[in-house]
Amino acid sequence: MELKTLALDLGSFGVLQERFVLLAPGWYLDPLTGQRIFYDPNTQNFYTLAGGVYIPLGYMNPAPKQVSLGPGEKLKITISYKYSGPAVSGAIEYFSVGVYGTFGFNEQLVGQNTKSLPASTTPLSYTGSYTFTIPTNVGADWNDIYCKIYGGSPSVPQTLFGYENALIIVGKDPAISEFTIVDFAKV
Amino acid sequence: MNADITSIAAPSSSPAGEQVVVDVSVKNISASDQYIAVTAVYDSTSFPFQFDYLLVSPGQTVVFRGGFTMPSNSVRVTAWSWYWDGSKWVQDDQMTKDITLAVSTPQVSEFQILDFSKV
Repeated sequence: MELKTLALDLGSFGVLQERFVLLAPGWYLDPLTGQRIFYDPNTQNFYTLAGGVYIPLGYMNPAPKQVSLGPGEKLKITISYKYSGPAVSGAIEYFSVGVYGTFGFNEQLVGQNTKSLPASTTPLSYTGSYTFTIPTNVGADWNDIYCKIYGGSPSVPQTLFGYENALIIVGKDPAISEFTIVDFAKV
Repeated sequence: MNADITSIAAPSSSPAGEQVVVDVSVKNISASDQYIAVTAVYDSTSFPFQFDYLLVSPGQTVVFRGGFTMPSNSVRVTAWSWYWDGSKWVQDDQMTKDITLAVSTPQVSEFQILDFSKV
């Protein structure tokens, strides 16, 4: 058998700055994980080698509940946050449903709102929401969600939050959930 | 000169929208009691002081406190002292102080998914 080696030219690397200070396009190293990730300034996303959106360690969380959804049904995601600083126009509230794994976050559904934030010297609370309609081609593994806020003028530092296993996609493929041994006893 | 402005106490920088407190200290350097007043502007906008005027003994220093809301640009505060000559107010001393606009950076905190549900 002939052994072939895959060679990737990743060019030069920078260290990913904490809190996603705006960067030039290129490859970066997450100092926490050492993972190589690519920054695309057009989408303002970091991508893994496998092509998924890179979400740093600690930003994805176990979902506090699971919501069952099927094709044609609607999912409403609501975020909350506090903002302080100068007036910002055009900040983006970003919502995504997809598949999260070692490859990153494979975005399948994406929605966004544009938000203007008034100047404030103290943190003020805001909420934002987006409603997705689950498409007929939904995959049974589209069970993760993540949201972020970023961009605008002046730019808001990108801030992320996500839930793993938040959704149960039903009615698409045969699916069994919450399978457990309820009891076993001598009878 | 009778009403010597000895200092303007104000922050050297302030963020837009914050209340800026300006303390103008004036000393009566004459040999007699004087009615002393202070007026001031930031750029070309006047702002009020706590007292219209005060009767000040020789050698005594008084503080006139005023204030304004910091605009979205750096400003120069100019203060003038006045004394009453028995028939009219006479402009006496002048002092300026620059206050730069403190530029704050956008900060997001407590970002979370508040809820997700079928609707």
